[in-house]
Amino acid sequence: MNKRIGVFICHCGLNIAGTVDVDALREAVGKIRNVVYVKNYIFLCSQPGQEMVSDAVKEHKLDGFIVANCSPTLHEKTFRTIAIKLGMNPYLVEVANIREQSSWPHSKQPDYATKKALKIIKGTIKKLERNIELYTQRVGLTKRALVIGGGIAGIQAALDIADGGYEVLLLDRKQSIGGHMAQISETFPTLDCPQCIMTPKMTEVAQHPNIKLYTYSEVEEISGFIGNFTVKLRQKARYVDWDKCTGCGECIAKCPSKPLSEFNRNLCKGTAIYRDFEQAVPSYPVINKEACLYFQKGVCRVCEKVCPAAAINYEDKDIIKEEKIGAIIIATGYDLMPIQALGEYGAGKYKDVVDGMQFERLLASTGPYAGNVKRPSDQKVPESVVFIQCAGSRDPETHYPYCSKICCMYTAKQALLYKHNVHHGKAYIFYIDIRSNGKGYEEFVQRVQEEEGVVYIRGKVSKVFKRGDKLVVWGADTLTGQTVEIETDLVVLASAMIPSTGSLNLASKTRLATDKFGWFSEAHPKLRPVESVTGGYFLAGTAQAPRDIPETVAQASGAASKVLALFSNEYIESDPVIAQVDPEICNRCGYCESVCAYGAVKLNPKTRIAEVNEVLCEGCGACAATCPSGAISHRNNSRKQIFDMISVATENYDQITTKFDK
Amino acid sequence: MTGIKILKTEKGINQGLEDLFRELLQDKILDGIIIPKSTPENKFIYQVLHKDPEKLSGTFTFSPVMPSNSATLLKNMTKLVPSDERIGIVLKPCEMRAVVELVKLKQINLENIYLFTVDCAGTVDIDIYSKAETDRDMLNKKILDSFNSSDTLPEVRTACGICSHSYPADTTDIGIGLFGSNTNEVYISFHTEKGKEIVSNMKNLTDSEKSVREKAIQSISEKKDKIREEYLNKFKSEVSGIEKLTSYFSKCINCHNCKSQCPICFCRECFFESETFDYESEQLLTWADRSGMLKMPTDLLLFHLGRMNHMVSSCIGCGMCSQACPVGIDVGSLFLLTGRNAQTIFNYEAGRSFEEELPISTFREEELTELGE
Repeated sequence: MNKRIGVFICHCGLNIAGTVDVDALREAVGKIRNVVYVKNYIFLCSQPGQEMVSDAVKEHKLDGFIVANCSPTLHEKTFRTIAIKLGMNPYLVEVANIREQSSWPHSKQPDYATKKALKIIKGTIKKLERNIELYTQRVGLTKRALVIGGGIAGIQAALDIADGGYEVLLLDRKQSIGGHMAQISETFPTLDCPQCIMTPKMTEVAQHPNIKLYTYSEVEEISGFIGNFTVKLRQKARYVDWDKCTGCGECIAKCPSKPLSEFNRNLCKGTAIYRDFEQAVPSYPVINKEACLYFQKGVCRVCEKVCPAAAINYEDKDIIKEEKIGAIIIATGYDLMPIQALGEYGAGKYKDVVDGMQFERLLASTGPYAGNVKRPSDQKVPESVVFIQCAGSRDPETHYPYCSKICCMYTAKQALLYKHNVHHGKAYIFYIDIRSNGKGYEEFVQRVQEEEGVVYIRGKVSKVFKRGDKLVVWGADTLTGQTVEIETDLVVLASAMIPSTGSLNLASKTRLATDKFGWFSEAHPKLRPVESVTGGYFLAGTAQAPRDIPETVAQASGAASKVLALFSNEYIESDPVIAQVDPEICNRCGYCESVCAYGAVKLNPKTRIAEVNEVLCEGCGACAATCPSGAISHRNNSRKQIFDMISVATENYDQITTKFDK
Repeated sequence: MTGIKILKTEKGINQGLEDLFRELLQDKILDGIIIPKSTPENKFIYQVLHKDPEKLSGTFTFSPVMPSNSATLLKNMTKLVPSDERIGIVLKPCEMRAVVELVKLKQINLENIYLFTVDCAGTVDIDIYSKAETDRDMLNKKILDSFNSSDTLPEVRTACGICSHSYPADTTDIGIGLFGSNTNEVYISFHTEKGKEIVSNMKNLTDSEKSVREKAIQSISEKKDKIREEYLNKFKSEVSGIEKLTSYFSKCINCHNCKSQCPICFCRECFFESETFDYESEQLLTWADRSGMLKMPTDLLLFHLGRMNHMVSSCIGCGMCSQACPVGIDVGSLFLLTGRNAQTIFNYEAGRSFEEELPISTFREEELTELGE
């Protein structure tokens, strides 16, 4: 217990002093038991302010002190660092937040704000009286990263970490890395094709000495904590020995089974033995067991016969590999919502109602029609195309309330590419608003509207139905107030982006937080956008929210720099303000284990007494609040301390007379 | 996995069952059995762990008194290490419900434990039973006779008078029933694999139809459900609001007997007996400043509300708290009422099933959106 307590009251310019009667406050605080020194100052966080605190601690031989200022998220560290320099345990410094919790919310009630500020300070003094010295714990770390998802986000993050000199495992559940970007025809607003800008990066990944590729693999299990994860990866049975395979493609050319091509979004047929696309990295194929004639009917084995390298192995099995990892980047990306849910647009009913990614494949030179736009039902060149934006996005009543962010731009790009492909064709875009806030984006949309002659109609489509071999689009033009009917050959739905399938499963395996739609949550929306809530996990790209390629790449590099910063340490220091078990009181019920979101509290398998993993514990306090007998407490937030603080909060307000009382 | 048989006995129900248990011990089907038994001077009844079949005498399978909740016995026996030997235990339905909760709270390990649950016509307060002197035998008989009469005996404890789950549920291994039976007949039912194994080793049982018994049970529980709801609704009006609640506890002497006797209060050290509640004079004086005076000892109501907050979602309504109260506060009715309301919110019923997860350790996204009153 600290007997000599100092209190420093910050005016924060007029942020605090403009509301709170700081002189009356100083006088009242001086009368509180164990307070031996009180001082006011205009800006405590300034250099002279910090020096003043430092001098007072020495001169008055303080055992601990309180700064009454702003939120501890801002300056708790500043003043704890002063303590460290003075040789005082930093956990004997506490912040009383009288700005966010008093002067700001009660700016119109200065008298009340002053009285409340006194309670906040007094409660914090009560807490500090029972604070104990705490020490951080040091643990080593494995300087090796796992990147989950091999789209452009994962590729960029992996390359940056690998270039920084550390080993990276890049995981993708597909046969090849590349993700959705590999499926796109050209990218807005510069119209580079991914083959030109992305395949060099994919090759770099394949050749980088620090990158180990795990494609056609999934996360089986993750245990451990920041710096010290153990990850089990399931490498799915490929039925092709990649050590022997040369990637010649002879097997693919001869495979007689023709299932729909997933890479081409089911617009055309592929083969049972396949690689995702021609430039796939790695270039070695896998066998789709569900489509393979040998696996389904016991006959065929053509691939085995034609393979010059004898690489086909029908006996192949899933392999579980265990890897030690220090940091994990989640780059699991997005999917488009299934358009079958948009029945009013004829989706799922008419072949010529497609989603944005299907249209990308129709446009792509590597697509089903080699870049000549044809409609799926009868391969006719569409004389006109209607694009419908916000198909499922910005629709809180039936689908998703959020904006999918990229659709305005890719729809403009798709309309442009269509016009370039079918010169006499007509393109119509139904939109709610045009959101083109990115570098060169607005200019691009202007170009599409003015130079390419794409017709923009502001309004929503109510119905799409068939008339003869045409599709009829009924909509409203909200600028003219007219109803619109357009007969067209093809309808493209800019359907909402949703988290990639399997990301919820990954969230439960990693215990990472997501929002209600399943996007991974960042630690702070503004100031910590690439860190997840749990230590050691970082976020890149559309796993977190809809975003475009430049933002994805920037965020991926941001996440990689966080990993590099982590790896520049020789050890990890864990915050000691965490849960702690009194084994004498613990009665083995396991409530704590069931409420811990981080897997940090476990019953010892032998004694069944609860134990806290000090590095894994994030100090949230859920276990301490749940433990019925009080066997778990939160360090320096003991029940006694909390009761003391509550007790102060319920005291009368008449212990201070402010200048506003008169 | 259920079945029912009948034991016919000419020696009286308790004696007939005692012979049955003795055979289980003699045949080494069980290594021991815990069963209510009279003290040598026939003054009281408590649970006794029998290993020697020859010592099995004077037992009361349908004991009319319940000195403590036997789930606590099982907790003490098996919390740290499971039993090496096969032990049977005779439980009342409320004790069985407490067993279910304590298993979920990881306080009881059922390995090698065989649970026998009896029909219960209610038990009388320990005071009434111990003071009954010459009438004690009559009281025992009265309770036995009341099984198939249409009314609950007026002498039984409040908790029993309003109990509508007074028969073995499917959580138990073996059921021993009188509801719906003929004179000198006892139903023996099994509800689990373990129970089936034991019953198949019992001699002299005859096959039975379920329907008569099921009808009797249904009729009793329907009737008791109604009594319970009427009682609780009336009771609620007597304790609602902080003033009525304070007055309800006004004679509480802060002895914490209710906590000690509660089978669900499983903590080794009660939080309300921890250092958190030791106050320095400065604290007490500050509180006294607030309204000029302070009732002492403090935290009396906080103890009851805190305990309620901790255990009420698992309250099985045995009423041991009321029986233990030296000043006669009916703590049990209050906890039963609050427990009923809290458990309804979470669609949970304490003691109903081993699988239902404890509300406090389960997170449901939609929970508490419609918390009423």
